[in-house]
Amino acid sequence: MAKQLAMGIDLGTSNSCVAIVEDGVPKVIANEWGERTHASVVSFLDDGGVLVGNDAKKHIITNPRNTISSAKRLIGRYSFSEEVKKAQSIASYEIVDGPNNAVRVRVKGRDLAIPEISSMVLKEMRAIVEAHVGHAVTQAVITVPAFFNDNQRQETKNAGKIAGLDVLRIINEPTAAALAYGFGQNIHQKVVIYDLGGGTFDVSILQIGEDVFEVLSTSGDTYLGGDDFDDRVAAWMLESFTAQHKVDLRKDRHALAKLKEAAERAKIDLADNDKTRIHIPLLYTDKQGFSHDLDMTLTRAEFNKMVMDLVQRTFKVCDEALQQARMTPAEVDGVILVGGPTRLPIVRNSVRHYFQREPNIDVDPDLVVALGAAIQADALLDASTATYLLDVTPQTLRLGTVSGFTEVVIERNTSIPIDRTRTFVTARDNQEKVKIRVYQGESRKASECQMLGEFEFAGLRQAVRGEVKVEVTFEIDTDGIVNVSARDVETGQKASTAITLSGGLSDDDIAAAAARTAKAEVRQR
Amino acid sequence: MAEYTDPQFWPQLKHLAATIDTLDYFQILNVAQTSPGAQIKVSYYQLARALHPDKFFHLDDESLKEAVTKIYKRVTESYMTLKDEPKRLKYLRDINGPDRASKLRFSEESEAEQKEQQKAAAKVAKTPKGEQMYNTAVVDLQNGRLDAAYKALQSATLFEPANAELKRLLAEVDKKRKGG
Repeated sequence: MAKQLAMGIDLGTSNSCVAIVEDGVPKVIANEWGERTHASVVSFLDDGGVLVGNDAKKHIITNPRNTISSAKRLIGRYSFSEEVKKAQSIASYEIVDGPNNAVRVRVKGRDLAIPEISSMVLKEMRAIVEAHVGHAVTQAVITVPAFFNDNQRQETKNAGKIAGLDVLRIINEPTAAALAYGFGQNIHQKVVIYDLGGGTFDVSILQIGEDVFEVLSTSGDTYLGGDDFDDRVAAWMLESFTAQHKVDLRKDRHALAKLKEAAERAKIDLADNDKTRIHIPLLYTDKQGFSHDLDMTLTRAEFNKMVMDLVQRTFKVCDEALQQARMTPAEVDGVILVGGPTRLPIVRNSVRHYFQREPNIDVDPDLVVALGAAIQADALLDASTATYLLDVTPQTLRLGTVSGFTEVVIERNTSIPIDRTRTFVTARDNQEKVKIRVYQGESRKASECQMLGEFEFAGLRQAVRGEVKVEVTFEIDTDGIVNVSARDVETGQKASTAITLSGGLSDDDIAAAAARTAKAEVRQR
Repeated sequence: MAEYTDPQFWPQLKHLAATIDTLDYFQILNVAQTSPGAQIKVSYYQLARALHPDKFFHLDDESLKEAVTKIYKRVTESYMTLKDEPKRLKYLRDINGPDRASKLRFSEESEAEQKEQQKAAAKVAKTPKGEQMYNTAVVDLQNGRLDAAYKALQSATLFEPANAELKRLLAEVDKKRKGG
């Protein structure tokens, strides 16, 4: 029997990438047009077909209402969260509320859950691998930002299930990058992974000892990425155009999509050039029927000024990660850059200045995460490959207490897998159930943390109050996903567990979505 | 070299999982109570190589995998506690005290007590190093190691030569160990 194959997928905010290990060598698989990175964009066509990837991205301008980009910014978030509110005001597609405060996108009158959108990107990655090897491949390791909380990890895993994948493991993007960097190198180093992606920023500090990759600390900002750089440029363009033509384009989603696309191109151009010309033909047609182009020049110096505060924010996160690892920048043996925006000179120079050393650029910042995921996928299936990822949980796990406060159950930067137990005593006679709320975050106030869900343990023994002791176990598994279970201390009887208020998809939702996407016709160009 | 993934070791692993609640963190990590931090890390890495659930991922025996995960989670817990100096000191007191059986797992109560202890230490010592040495001395005293406690306090006074409270303690311990 041929050796089992599993792929590693970097499911990014802006771009995705897929890799496998072939003959012991990790490699990124290109699609039939030779492209190795693929826009994480899904476009729903008028004839019912679906486009995914770089082709779908072209439809952002021609078909903005039915083309979904940056879905990762919404995954696992509640509809009342700030990120969703912001996306609602700027996205070219419609974002609506779903059941249990979940988020849905409305496309052609149908409401789709975010994991359903992500699953279409994953299916595309799977198709690329299958076309390459010539047979079905269903096993995969999918990466997520290290700072992703439990809800975001769960929903990413659900996206994999909807895509018909057997998700072997969810691993953290910076950890995957470290794995690709250190794999087979027999190094003993403390390295910093500076991972600035399209929508998220992560920094992880790892100690690499041959085959063991121990994460000492991780920190991040899931609201900071290359997208925000584009927004700054687009806002500047909009302001200048508005001033020049006395016209307000802020309600014109079509024009905004064009601005955003041009802003991204300008940013990429400025990685290699001192200045760039931004030209959008026919951006606006006035009442007299005259069309106006946008034509401006942006210098690197001007661009740097626009984004400097965003770059500075990344170093606040670095400060925190170093402090958590109890290290100084001087104790770092190497800095590895991950993510497209790290190609920008302003980012590279700032990183060099902060760590007082030349960052490592041997690894391709766009591909390294998928390569690491492929190495881990291969190691899981192959008994002879030995790499050990000792990762940590990025945010403190908390338990809701009275009057809106929380207490710590598992501290951030605790190695995983791990579990902790808490004992609860019944407060009323014949109490049937115990309810607890679980949060993730760094504040004692519940309102400043992310709620993961409310757990209800039912079917307790009938007894006078104080008699029944319920032992609740909080586990964080190797995917960084939280599992909560409860049992009666005396009888050992497991309590039935129901999760409410979570906003996540149920098993039935996943099955239904999987059936729908299996039917959806994914178009080749 | 024989690996734990070899079926001959499975009964042993399942037995370990079933009885792990009776072991303290030092026994789980297979280190002496006096082992330095570096040794704790070496042992953790060795156990990760031998028992990380990823290593057993490809096997089909679910009950074995469950057992390995249970053991490994306790390995992680042991490492997280023992690599942190104040927690290690508190844990040492816990497991060498009268309530050993109920204190094998470092709990939130232990954490609260430990914070009290730290506050108390912060009242006596005024520098981080001094505080650390003072903490060490307190544990030594609780375990009847008078010479070690004296040495630790002596080091603490080196960091804080003007601290009268430390000097008083030093003299007191000195008197005790000379048979006072």
